[in-house]
Amino acid sequence: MKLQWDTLSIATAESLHEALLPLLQSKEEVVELDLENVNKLDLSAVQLFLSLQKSLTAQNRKLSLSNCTNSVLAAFELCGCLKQLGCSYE
Amino acid sequence: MSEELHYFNEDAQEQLQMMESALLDAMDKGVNDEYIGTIFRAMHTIKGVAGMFSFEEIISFTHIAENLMDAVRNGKIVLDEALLMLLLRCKDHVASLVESAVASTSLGVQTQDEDTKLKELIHSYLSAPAQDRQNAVPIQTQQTQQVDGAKVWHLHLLLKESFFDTGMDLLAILSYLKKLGTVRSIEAELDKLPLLVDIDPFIPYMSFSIDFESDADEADIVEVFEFVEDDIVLKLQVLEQTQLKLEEPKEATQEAIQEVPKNVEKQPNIEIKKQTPSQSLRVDSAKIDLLIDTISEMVIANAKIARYVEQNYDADLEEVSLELETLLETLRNNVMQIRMLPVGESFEKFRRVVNDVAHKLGKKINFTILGGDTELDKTVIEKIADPLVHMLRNAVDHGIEMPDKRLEAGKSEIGNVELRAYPESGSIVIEIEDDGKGLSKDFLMAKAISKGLIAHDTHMSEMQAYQLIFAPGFSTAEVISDISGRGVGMDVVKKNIEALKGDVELSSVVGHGSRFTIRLPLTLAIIDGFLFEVGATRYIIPLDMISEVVEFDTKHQIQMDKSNLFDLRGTLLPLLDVKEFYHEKSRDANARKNIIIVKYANQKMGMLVDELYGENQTVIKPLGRLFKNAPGLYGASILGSGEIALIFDIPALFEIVNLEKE
Repeated sequence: MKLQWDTLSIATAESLHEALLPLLQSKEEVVELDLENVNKLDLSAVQLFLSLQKSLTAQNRKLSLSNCTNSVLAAFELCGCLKQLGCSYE
Repeated sequence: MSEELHYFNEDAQEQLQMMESALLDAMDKGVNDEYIGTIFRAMHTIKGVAGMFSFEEIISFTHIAENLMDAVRNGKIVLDEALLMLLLRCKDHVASLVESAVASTSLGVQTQDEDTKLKELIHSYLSAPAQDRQNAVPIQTQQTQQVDGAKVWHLHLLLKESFFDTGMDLLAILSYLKKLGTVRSIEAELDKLPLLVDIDPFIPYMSFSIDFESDADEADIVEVFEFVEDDIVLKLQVLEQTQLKLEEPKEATQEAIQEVPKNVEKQPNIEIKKQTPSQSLRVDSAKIDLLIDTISEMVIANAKIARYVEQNYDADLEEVSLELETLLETLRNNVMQIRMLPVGESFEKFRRVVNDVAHKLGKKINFTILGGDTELDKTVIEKIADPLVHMLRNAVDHGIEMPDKRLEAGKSEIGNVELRAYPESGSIVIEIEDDGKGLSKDFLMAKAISKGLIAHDTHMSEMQAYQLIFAPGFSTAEVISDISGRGVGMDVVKKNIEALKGDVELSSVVGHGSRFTIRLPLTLAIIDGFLFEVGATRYIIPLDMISEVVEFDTKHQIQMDKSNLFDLRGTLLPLLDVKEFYHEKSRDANARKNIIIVKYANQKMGMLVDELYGENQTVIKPLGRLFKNAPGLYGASILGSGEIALIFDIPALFEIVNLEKE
């Protein structure tokens, strides 16, 4: 699923939560979130990605975040979640 | 403007004011560690808080200025007069940057140019070899040659449920933390994170463990989280500390830290007690104004109850009304007290004005502020600032002579300008006094004649001649400068002071100096008044301005018929017949009359009135257009009966009576 938001903040947290919930019902083993459009995010968004990842792990499934911009990677790094979310700068 | 941005602005202004005071003190009294620390902290704090808002221009500039002050602090750069002047420019520039940031406007060309120039100048200081600065005045510093080395801190950060409500972004805060040092590791703790179906997206569930290497002290680190301190639980612990000599190269520092074993025995936890909650609270002054307005309406409503009680003889209600009146008075006094601020904080800003003007003119000035603790209504303080700036500039420009002229006159080459404030019978007096050349009556009159302001054959008292300085178009300056001398200003100064219901007068002694005396009311909202009647109209006088009340008798009548004066225990005082003054109609010619003795600026006079009603909580309302030209009136107040009482402007009445005397 490709996220369409440019900025993910507490203002969009509820919408993002609602957008992510259906992914728990999907059939794919690896759920891919395309973050190409996202240029800025805050902790509320990071927390939702981590919660989604935790939920998928409980279902023996995986989360893959793709096309992350440098600012998104920097945000993950800042809060110590870069590796946890399976991302890197390469 | 958001609340956070508003606080950022206020904090930045406070820091800049402290920086300016420290710079001016350093110029006047010599440089010391305390001043250096204050200047450094101002730049450091503004940078820190600007970091949370991502105000890049401010961060970039204050970072460089902070480096400069750090080098000064470490004794690598000498804080001489040239650098103090440069730092004053930096202070002004940061003020411009803050203004742009808060207004969300891009920097103007001038500000951008100044930014570039100042950065270049700072870099030249930072990169200049030490010998280039050998001639500079040494700093009177007691700083030791050893400073605390870098520490490795362990931070544990727990976000409370309310964290997201603050609107603050933790990532921005962590980003700023990184600017204080190096984050060695950060671990997000996710054990409390619910599954997606159970999560509330508005509540944070994460906490963080951070190992952080920095030479910042505990207060600096805690300060990073200042804006969210009520919404987090922060624990700090020092893992390791090394002592470093100043001259050691930075690489050595890093090596030393890298040698710290990972499983270093942890020192006992530093007790991070939450700072004692501040005893002060920032409140928007508009909220206090609203509170005062509401109290004013309550005072009027209670006056209506009192009136009802009077008409209906209801003893129980009377008791309640009296109790309510007492409570309202206490409430009013307490709320009014919130608006009262010491004038000293505002006066401090004038030191820069005096310093800049003196510097520009090549004069040497010793500027003293006395009575800074004197309290005055916030609005009055704000509105009096511009007139005071103008008068101080005039005192330095026109009053104080050039150093050589002062020496010729047998004076010290350093001129004295004193700004003082003190309370006096319900008013606040502000005086600006200089020991300069002074002004004579003849000089002032000759100037006024040459400018066509008065006729050649005009006769004036000294007091009237000194008032000429407040006439539009009057200037005593020989040369028109960009500082003063265009004759626009003192008339505006007088108008501004009069708009505050105050007055200003000048006294001067040739060769010894001049003194401006400004009298201002304590407050502009509610006063304790004294209610009385003349003819069919009710009037109020501010209680503080009443000296005493005496009954008018036949002896007084005889004196008044002769001279408009009356004898008060051996002293002759002017007597103003209010009825005659306002052409009031008599109700009962035989009714008892009274004389209210009012005082103002060491003067007294009597006012002949009819019936006295006593103390009255007076809510001041502006006068309508009808009364615009009525002399001696200050405002109006609504009584419980719904009637209007007119409030006397006692200073204006004294002016009228004095002019009539002359």
